[in-house]
Amino acid sequence: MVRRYFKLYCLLAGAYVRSRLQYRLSFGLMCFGIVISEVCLLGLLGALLVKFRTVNGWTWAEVVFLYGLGNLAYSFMRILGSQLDDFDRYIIRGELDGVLIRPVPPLFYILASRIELIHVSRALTSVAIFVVAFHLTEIRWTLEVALFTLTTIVSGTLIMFTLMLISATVALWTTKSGKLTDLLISATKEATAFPVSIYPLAVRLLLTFILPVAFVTYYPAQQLLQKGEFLGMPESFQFAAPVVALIMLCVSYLFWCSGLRRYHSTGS
Amino acid sequence: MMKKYLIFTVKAFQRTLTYRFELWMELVINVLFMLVYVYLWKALYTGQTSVEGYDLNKILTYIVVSQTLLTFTFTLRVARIIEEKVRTGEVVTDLMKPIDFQLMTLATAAGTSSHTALFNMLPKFLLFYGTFGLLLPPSLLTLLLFITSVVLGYIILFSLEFIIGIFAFWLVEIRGIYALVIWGLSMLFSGYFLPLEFYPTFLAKIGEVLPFRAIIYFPTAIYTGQLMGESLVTAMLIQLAWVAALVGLGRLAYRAAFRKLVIQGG
Repeated sequence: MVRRYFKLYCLLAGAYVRSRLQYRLSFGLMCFGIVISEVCLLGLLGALLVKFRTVNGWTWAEVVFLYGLGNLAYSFMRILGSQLDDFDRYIIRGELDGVLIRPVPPLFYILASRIELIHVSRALTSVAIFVVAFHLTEIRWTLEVALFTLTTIVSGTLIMFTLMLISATVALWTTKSGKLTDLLISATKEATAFPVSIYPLAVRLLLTFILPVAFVTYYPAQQLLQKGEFLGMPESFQFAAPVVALIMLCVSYLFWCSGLRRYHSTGS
Repeated sequence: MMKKYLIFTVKAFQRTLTYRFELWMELVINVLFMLVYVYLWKALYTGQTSVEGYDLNKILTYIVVSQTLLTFTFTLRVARIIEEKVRTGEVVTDLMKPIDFQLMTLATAAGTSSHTALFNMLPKFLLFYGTFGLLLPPSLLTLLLFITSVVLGYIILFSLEFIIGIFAFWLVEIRGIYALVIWGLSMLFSGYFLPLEFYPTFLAKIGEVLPFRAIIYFPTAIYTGQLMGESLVTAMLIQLAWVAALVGLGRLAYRAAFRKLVIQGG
């Protein structure tokens, strides 16, 4: 069963990748563009922090660490979940009807039909940034740290993915979601690049309980960097990322299903 | 003469009204974006009074104005729209019309963008202005110059996107160039994230020969009173020069594109 789905995924995703590689120049330019824009953003962050040295007691290296961590989760999510980015076109063009009659779960089919390799360039840049930041912050590499980091990245990817899924699902009611999903994800990603402690309580609560991206970077970083900065939240939050990811997965999937149940075709 | 182009503007303005929910959500998320930056700068300025001639009030004003202007960058979809028209072949119907393609595209974009300015940028700005006690421009004249500078910056942004869009005639897929120019270079050199005074010298030097600072930095620095007197005049002259150069380049590009255009029957 799992093997069958795995094979199917490779088949569908592979077809998409091959079609994308038809335009090699454009593909290359896109990768290049993403890398440049990532480096530019990091350069800006650098220019800023060289001038000010610290943000709320976080050093340059620690902020880059947060940035790298958030960016890693973001790029993996982008590789696997690109299809949700402009999910509304499935509804506007009526393509969703075609998906619904296929003998696989609709969400699986939608995700499998596109795997965006251009974002591998972003992921590689993030890995580089993260490795450098890891080095600068003088965290000691142990098996535990490695496992914890890995779990954090996987949970972070899932949390971001579920936010994307929820915002894409909204289109099942409103028909159009335009750049909303993209905007939401970019905004939350931007928010995770800085220590959550710089925000007022309301924004902190928002980023902890409603759009729980603080679990992508900030809380796990408390453990990795030994910051001990919890701002009145339970200390166990530093280990909570996988739990949050699981809860979010359930919530978003239920939301998706309820969206599908009430879906009416646009008829176009 | 201008009346027919105005119709495009009005129609585009009305079209944006169709999906209200989307517009509201967009506003909410934009506010979240701006909050991130405002609080980042507040945190950076704890224990500092003035950096590079910017005190806390001035820097917050700078950030909010520049972030507000940045809205044009991510709501303008000129390159995407042209690409789509080329791919679907719809561009043919535009070519058959007795109108100028570049002007028509600008008129349409202006319609969408004036809607954005009125219902997204202005409320967003007023919200932050009220909440964080931001500065107003030093004088009424500065305000008028600021608005003029915003319009010039807008035309520069439009022209860049227009040229990128025209690339679709050769490349079919332009997301690469778009990401490179708009999300890479423009983000780095437009000064949306921090004022150019904060840049390391070599980076600032590179920025001076590129058009991007004329999109956001110039109008924002005029608003905050950072550019005054002679430097303000120079800035606006640079903007005018870029407008002339890029609009001209856009015309050349689309003439070249239309000459090589071969349409498949459909």
